[in-house]
Amino acid sequence: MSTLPDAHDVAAVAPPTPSAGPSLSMTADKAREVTSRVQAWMSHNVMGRDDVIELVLIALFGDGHVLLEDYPGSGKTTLANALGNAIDDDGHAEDKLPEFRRMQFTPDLLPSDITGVMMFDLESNTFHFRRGPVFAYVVLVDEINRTTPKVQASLLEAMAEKQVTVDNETHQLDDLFFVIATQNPLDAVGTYPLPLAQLDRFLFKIKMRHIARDAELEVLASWGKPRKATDLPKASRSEILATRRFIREEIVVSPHIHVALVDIARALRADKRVIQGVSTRSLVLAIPALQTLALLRGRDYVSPEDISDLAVPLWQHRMELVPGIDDASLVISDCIKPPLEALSRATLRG
Amino acid sequence: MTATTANGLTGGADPQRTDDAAKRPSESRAVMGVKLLMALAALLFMLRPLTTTAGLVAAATAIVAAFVVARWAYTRGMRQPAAVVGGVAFSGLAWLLSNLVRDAGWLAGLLGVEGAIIASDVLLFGGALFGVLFTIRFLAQSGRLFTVIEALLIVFSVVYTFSDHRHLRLNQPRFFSDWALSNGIDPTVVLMGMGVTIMLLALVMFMRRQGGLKAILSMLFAIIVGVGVYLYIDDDKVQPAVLTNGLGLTSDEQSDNKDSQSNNDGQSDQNNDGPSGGNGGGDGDSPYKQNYDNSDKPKPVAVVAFHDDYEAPEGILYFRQQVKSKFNETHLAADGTYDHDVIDVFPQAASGSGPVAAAPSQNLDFHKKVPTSVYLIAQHPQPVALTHATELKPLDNPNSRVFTAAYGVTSHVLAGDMRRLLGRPSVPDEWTDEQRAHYLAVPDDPRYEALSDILVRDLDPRFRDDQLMKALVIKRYLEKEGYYTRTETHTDESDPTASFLFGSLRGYCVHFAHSAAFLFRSQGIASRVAVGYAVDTRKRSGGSNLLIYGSAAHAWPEIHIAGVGWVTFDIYPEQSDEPPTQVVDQDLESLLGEMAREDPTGGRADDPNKSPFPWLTILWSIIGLLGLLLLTSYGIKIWRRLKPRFGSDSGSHVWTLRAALDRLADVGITREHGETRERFAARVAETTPSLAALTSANLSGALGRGTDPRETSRIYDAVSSEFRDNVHWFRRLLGNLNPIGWAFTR
Repeated sequence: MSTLPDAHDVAAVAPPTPSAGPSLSMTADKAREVTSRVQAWMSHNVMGRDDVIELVLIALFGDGHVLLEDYPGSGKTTLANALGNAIDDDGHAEDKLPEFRRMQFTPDLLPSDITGVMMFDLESNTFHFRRGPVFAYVVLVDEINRTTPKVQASLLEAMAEKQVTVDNETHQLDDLFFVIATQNPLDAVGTYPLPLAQLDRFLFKIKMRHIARDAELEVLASWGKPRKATDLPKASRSEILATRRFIREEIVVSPHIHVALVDIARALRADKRVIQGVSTRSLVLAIPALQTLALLRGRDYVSPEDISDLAVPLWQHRMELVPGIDDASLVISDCIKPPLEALSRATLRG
Repeated sequence: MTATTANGLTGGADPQRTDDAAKRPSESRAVMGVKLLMALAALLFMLRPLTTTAGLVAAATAIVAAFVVARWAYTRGMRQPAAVVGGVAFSGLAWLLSNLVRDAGWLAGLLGVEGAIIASDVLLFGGALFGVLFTIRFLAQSGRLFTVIEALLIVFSVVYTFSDHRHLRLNQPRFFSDWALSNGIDPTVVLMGMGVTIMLLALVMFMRRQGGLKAILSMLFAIIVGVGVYLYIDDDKVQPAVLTNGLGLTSDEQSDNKDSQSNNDGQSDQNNDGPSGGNGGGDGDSPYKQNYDNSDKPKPVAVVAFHDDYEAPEGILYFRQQVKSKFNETHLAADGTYDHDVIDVFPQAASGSGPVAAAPSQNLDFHKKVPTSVYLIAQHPQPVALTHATELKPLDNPNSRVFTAAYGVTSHVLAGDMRRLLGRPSVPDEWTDEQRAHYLAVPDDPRYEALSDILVRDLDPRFRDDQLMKALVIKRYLEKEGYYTRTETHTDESDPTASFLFGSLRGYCVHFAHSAAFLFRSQGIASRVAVGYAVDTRKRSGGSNLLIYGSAAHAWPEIHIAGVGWVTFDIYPEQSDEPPTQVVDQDLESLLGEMAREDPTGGRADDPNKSPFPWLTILWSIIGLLGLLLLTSYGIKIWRRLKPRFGSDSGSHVWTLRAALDRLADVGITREHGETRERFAARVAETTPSLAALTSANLSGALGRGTDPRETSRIYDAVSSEFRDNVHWFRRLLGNLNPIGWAFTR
C-alpha cells in the first residue's frame, strides 16, 4: 500500500549534498533501508519496546533528543547501547569518537565531568583539551534530574548547540550527537527537576510502560544467552547524516500541515486546563520528526495521521497544566481534533 | 519495514472511555412520592367526569402501579426500547380489549350491560393508562429530557379539564364553580388561578434540576402545549356545547321541541304565525295571536353569510319566509295561487332537483343581485331568504347537529333611490282580473277607503295620481300615529285590524302590516303582507356573518309597482314601548358563522376569501419545498457520484475519494470525529480494502507531490467493485435511495 512515487522520481529531484559530510546520493528506499538497519539492531536487543524504539528512531533521524521517563531496570541502557552499536564510524573524523557513552548523573558531578577539561601537557607546556563523555555519537544520561542545575545546563548547551565551551574555548560535537536522558518518575527525593525551558529542548518525552507479559517472558528466556548481534548490518555515521538531510529536504510538508500545527499550538495555549502552552520551538522541532515518521510509514509527505500519532510525545512535557489536571495527553487529544478535522476537510476540497 | 503499528504511540492520545454505570440510580423516594401525588391529583381530576367509579378506582390503581413498576423496572436495568415497546403495546392491547368488551354483543350478554361498561372502563382507564404512564415514567427516569413529558402530562390534564369552563360554561367540576358563584365570585378567576398554580407547581417540581434558561424554555414549551390543547379542544369539543347553550337547548330539548311542533300541527287551530313557530298559518288561522317568545334570551334561528359587502338602505335587512296575500274576511292569508315569486320549498340536493327558481317578478334595472348562504338553526317549513329571493340552491350542511338546512340564495334587492320608482302604476296591465282582484281585495268596511281618501287628499297636486306617493303618505300616517306595543293584541275583536286602525292605534307589526295593506289596497295599490325576520344591522358591527334571532320575527307590507316588482314597504312606528333591540351576541354570531363556513362548498366557491387561513396552500408549499429539497439532494448526490468520471484530472484524487466515501456514508459507514482518514480506511478495510490506497492517493494529492490520475481512478474502480462485493445488495439499494448520505461524508 505504499504510495511512494517511483524511486527514480525522488532521486531526480534530490539535490546533491555537498555541504556537510561525505556526499552520498540518497533515495527514499535507501533512506528507509538505513532506518530499518538501526531499528533492527534495537529491536533485536530490546524486547517489547517497539513503540519506544520507533520514537527513538524518529528522534535520531529527526535530529532531536529524547527524555525517557521510566523505572529502573526497564532496559534503557540496553536500548541506548543497542543504538550506539548500530552506528558504525566510517572513519570520517580525524580522531575516532566512541559510538556510545553512558553517564550516571549524581549530585556531586561537575560540568567538566561531562564536557571535558583543559589539561596541562608537561611535554609541550601547553593546555590540551581532554574530551569528556559527551564526545560520542549516542550519549545515555541516566537520572538527569539527580545532578545540579549547573551540570544540567552544560549538558543542555551541548544538546542545543552541539558544542561545549571549556575555558572560553568552544569545541564542536559531532553532527550525529544524540542524547537519551532518563529520569525516574517516582523517586523524586533529592532531585533537581528540570524546568520547563530545559524540558523544551527534548524532542520527545517518552513515558515508558512495563512491557507486555509475553515480551517479559522472552526477556527471561533469552537472558544470558550470547547475542549474535554482529550478524546484523550497521548503519554508518555518514549514512545516518545523509538520511537526515534527505528527510529534511525530500519529505513534503504541505502548508496545510503548517496551518494545522499552528492551530494546534494555539488551541493548546487557549485551553483552560493549560497555564503555559507549547512553544514555537516545539513546532519547529516537530517538523523533522513528522517527516521522519512519514518516511517510516513509506510516504513522501506528512499526513494528518503523523500529527495525530506524535502529538502526545511531542507536547506532553512542554505544557504546564492547571493544578488538578494531571494527564496532558487528554488535553492534547482534545485540542488536536478540530485542527485535524479542518485538515481532513481541506483534503477533500477540489 | 513500515509495519510499525500506531497503537503504541496513540494509546495515550485516545480519550478515556467511561463504562456505562452498572447500577442505575433512580430518583429519590420522596421525589417519586410527590410526583405520584401530583399525577394522581391531575389525572383523576381530568378523568372524574369521563368515567365511572370503577374506572376511577382502576385509574388510581394503575397510576400507583405504573409508578412502582416503572421504578422497579428501571433500577433492575430494563432496556429503554424494551420498556417503551412493552408499555405502548400493553396500552394498545388494553385499549383494543376495552373496545371489544364494550362493543361485543356476546360479552355484554355475559356480563350484563352495566358489567360490560364497567369492564370496558376498567380496561381502558386501568390497563391503557398503566401502559402509557409506565412508558412515561420509565423514560423520565432514564433521561432528564423526558421529565418534560411528565410535566406536560400534568399540564395537559389540567388544561383539558379547565378548558371546559370557557364561555362561562360551568360544567365540570361543578363543586368549584358552584361554590364560587354562590359566594359572588367570578368562577373564571378561581379556576384560572387554580390552573396556573397547578401548572407552576408542576414546572417547579419537574424542572428544578435544570438551569435557568432551560427552565424558562421548558415553561414556554409547556405554555405552548397548554394553549395548543386549549385551541384543539376549542375546535373539537366545546363549540357544539357552547352552541346548544347559546340556543338554550340541548339536543334532547331540540327533539322535544320538534315533537311539540308536530303536536301543534296536529292541533290545527294554533295561531302560530310567527316564523319562529314555524308552521305558517293555513286558511282560517288568525295571524294576530303572535306567539312571541317572551323568554329572556332570544334563540338564534339562522345564520346568513354574505358573499359580498351589502348594506341595507335603511339599515334593516328583511328575510322573508312567506307572503300572505289572499284576503280572508278579516286578514290576509298565505295562498299559493299567485305568489309565484316567493319560493316556498327548500332546494333538495338529494332529490337532484337542484336549484329552485322563483317566477320572475323583479326588474333587474331596479335591483341588484346579492348572493348569500343561509344556515337554518331552527326548523322552518319554508326557506328563509333575503328579499327578494329569486333562486335557491342546495348546499352541504357543514354540521348537521347544529344546522337544520343550508342553502345558497340569490336575492334581488332594490338598488338606488326610491324616487326612481315614482310615476308608475301599481298594477301592471298584464295582470288578469282575478289576479288584480286578489291583490286588491279589502274588508267590506267603508272606513278603510274613507280614511285613505282623507290621507291622500292633502297630497301635493303634482303627485296626486302617483300610487307610490299615496302609499308613502299612508305609511307616514301609520308611523306618526301608531304606537308599537305587544301588550294590545286585539285578538278578542272580530276584526283586529279595524280595532287597531280605527281604535287605539296601539299594536304590533301584524296590525301595522295589515292596516297598511288594506289602506294601500283601498287606494288601488296591490299589496300583501310578508312574514319573516327583519334584522336591524345598525346595531351590529361589521363582519359578513349575520345571526338572526327569533326575536327578530316580523311582518311587513309589500307593494307592487308595475315594471319594478314587489317592494318592501315596512312601517316604522315612531312611538314604541319596546326596549332597545337586543344587542347581537357577537361571539355567537361569528362562532356560528365560522361553523357555517366550514362547509367545503358553502356556496362560496366563487369567493376569493374562501378560507380565512390558507392551510392547504401552506401544506402544499411545504410538500413542494420538501420535494424540491429532495430533488436537490439527489442532484448533489448524483453529481458527486459521477464527478470522478468526468471531473478534471487535477482534482481526481478529491472526486474519487469523495465518491467512495459517499457510498460508504450512504450505507451508514462514516468517519468519526477526530478519526484520521487513514485510521478510518483501516477500520473499513473489511468492506473496502482499497480505500486505504485511495486515501493515500488523496492525501498525497492534497498534501504531497500529487498522484497519477489514471492510477487513482483504477483504485477507485477497485473500491467500487469491493463495495459491490462486500455490501449486501439490499443495503446498497437502500444506500442508493438515501438522499442525504453525502451530507454525512466528512
